[in-house]
Amino acid sequence: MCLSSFQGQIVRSYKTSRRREDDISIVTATFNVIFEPGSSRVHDLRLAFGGMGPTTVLTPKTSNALRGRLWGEELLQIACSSLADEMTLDPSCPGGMVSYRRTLVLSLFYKFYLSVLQTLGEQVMPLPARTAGITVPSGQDMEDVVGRPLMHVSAEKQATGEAQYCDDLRPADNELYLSLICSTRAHAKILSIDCSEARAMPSVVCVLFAEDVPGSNGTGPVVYDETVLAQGEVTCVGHVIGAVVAETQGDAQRAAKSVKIQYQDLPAVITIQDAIEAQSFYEPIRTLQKGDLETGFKQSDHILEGELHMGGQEHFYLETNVTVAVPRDQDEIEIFSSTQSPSKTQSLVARALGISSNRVHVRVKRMGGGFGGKDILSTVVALAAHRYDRPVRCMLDRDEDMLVTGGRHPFYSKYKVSPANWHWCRLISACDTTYDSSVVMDRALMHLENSYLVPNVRGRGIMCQTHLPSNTAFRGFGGPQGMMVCEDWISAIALKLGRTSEQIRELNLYSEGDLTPYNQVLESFTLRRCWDECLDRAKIHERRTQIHDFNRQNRWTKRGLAVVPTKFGIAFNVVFLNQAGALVHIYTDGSVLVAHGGTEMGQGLHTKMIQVCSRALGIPHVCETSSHSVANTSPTAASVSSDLNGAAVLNACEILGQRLQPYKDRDPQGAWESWVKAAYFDRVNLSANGFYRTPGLGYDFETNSGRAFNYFTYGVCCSEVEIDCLTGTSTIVMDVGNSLNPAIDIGQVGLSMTCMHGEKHEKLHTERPGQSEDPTKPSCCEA
Amino acid sequence: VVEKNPDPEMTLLFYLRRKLGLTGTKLGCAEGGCGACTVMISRFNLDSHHLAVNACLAPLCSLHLAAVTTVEGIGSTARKLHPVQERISHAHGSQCGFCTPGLVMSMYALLRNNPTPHMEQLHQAFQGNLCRCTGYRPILEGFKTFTLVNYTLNLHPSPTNPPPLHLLTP
Repeated sequence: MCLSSFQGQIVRSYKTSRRREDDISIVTATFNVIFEPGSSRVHDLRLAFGGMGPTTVLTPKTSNALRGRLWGEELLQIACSSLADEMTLDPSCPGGMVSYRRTLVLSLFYKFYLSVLQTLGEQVMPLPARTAGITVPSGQDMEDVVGRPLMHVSAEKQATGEAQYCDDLRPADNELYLSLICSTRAHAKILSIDCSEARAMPSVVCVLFAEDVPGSNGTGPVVYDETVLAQGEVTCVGHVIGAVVAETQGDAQRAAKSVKIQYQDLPAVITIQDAIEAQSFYEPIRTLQKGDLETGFKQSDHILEGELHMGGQEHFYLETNVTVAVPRDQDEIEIFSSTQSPSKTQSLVARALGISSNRVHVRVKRMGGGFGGKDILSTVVALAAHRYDRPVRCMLDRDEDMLVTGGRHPFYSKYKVSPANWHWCRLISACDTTYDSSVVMDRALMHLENSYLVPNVRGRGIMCQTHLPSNTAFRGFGGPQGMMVCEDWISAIALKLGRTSEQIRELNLYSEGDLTPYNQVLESFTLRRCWDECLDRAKIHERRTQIHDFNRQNRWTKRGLAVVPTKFGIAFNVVFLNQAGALVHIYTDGSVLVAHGGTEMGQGLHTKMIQVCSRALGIPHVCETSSHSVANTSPTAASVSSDLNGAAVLNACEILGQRLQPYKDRDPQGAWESWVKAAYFDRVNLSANGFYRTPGLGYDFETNSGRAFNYFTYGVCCSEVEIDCLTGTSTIVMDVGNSLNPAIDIGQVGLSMTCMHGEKHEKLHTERPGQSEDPTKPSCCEA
Repeated sequence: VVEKNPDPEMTLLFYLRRKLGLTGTKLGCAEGGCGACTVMISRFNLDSHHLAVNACLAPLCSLHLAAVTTVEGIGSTARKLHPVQERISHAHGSQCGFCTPGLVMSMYALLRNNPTPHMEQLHQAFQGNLCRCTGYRPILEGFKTFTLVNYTLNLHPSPTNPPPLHLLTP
């Protein structure tokens, strides 16, 4: 940005933010140089930076050092070393990113330096053709969604605001609000809790702690190694210690903040490196092995070693976790929740309340996004409702949600690979509790070869026990992390051998009938077709030439291109979850109601279930997902919900179809309604329960045998990126080659590109959208 | 709406959702970062001015003599969808739907100020709206149909491509 200036003065402003459009920036700078008349000698130079302290800071030392100097290389050198000295940040300063911010100071000054040079007409090197760009290569196909499914059944209701989400439920007169009390320490003993101030607040009804849990305080997805409320010790910042229940949200939150807790700090393991030093690991340590590595490496000409660190990721569902718990009678409770796992919610609430599951009714109408992050947060709310016999609501604030709930598991990996022969790889992930994490690791190991035939391979997965909020499921569930490591070493190989990465990748792609490292045969293997189509559609060769030219002409902005294949195994790694049920009713007026075990979070699951049912029984309605309609459901996860629930719905529809067939035969010209009525009057059961379990699954790590996945999905993606080398901002253009479901997958591509950093320090640095790097529309794609 | 005792701490979003029961406008972040709470505020001062505003940040008390338009106010499935609502939904621009009302209102406010925007203006209008599900492309596909280029190319207005707003009867 250039402000107006008088002759001999140049003023410029710069901003680097997580999202280009954000007014909140990481670092901003304004520079003001006044030259001596008729020369390029600096009379006065002011530099001001925002984001380098609690207030804007000037740099008097640097300004003094540069006065009287000519605008040129020497001035630049002095400026950079002086700025590096003068602009320091404390390692624990708010916002983190210390070295990045200090680098930005220099980079932004350098941009100013170049800009002034150009203005003075003393351009020494070509300026970047653009400093920021949103580009779409010309001729890019508008990927129209050929073969896309029906419009999402709720899309219109969502667009008018009529679609109801959990918090849209009208609060009852006597409804209370719950606010969480969370730990501010990573690992500590709780010495004392003083909630006298909270209890004294007029509208506060109660403050709950672990001793108030009537049933069991142990909870968790399968293994109960987490607590409902912390008991004596906290194991992460954000660990839920207690809850305040009050008449209003404001009062509950104020009261929660007033609770004073005395801690005694204990040693904390934060990063994966910390965990490795402390040998803080969970069992089991998994190994996936095939072939003969020792011989292979002996015979190789080249051996490459490397490592890769992947940070965590925040789900950032637009709707945060929310629950409304409504007690019914004295011993029943109804839970309206934004959750992907109604059955788990049901059983964990029952466990905590000390009642049986059949008295807990969990209902999910829809979620404003899930992505794996909405599992089980309802227990505390149910506790309060049950105890005080009043409805209780809690919707986590965004910063609370980002703090308290876990995200994608960060991974650290070391690998050793030889092009002839491949690879030994150790994958390490950070987590706080076992169950989800061990399954994430299993999946990561099973994707560590991605789409390539690796005859000799060993992967070892180690889970670190750290004092971070427990990480959980997140689209891909370890798969992306495993694949990422693979793509790193395959790129390294290409670089080493001086070939393009596409060549190396293509050379090593699987073929039909090949065996994976876990001994599964690849059947109906369409990846090579995807590969060819993607390369063709993306016009790779043309693009490579254009990129090469661009990079030659631009010093500080560079472009790169990558083509990456993926192969993703479809099934829950935990075999018992591969089951689903459905309940289909035909009412006497002929209308059909379908209930199944999957939850709607935007993926269009109900829409697909309606499609499945509509062939047999006309167009049904799906109202909600309820633990009363279908029991013991698996979480809506693992990309299998359409398969599992669809098959269950189909099963139920076939049963009903058979029951109605005699009435259709008797009256072939009749209407659907008349067949239904005839069947009803004949006392035929017009409700059916359907069920499905995926056949043939059951992989064993010990013997490296058994079928891990039902099938695989394949895809190939070409991505072109432009990086501003001075600030690190990037622009991505996607070409999805041969997606199976373009309408939804285009969205998932966008989703997969967003990345939020949060695991650098004990406490999450990014608690708000302003601190995170969600791309907004302009930086995501251009139509 | 006449509010005799407005709470000075109350935001427009809270008032809409809890006091008026208008739950179409959503709470996403409470700091103006995600745009799920976008509504349109209009004032008349010699002329009408329409602004897309984050209701989560707008103090209720700042809205004296202002008109607030929410997503419920421009169309419904019960009566009739507004073209903005129709196009985003039909173009698969709504998956989980939580960001959708905010996007609808940003687009609506843009059209009230400029019935025939350019794509660049569209980009600017949505800078404050996040979507986590669609990757934005289907949303833009749907809303592109309101832009000048698209309208002039299509000489036959139809239910899915109506004439610009200022030519429609109110």
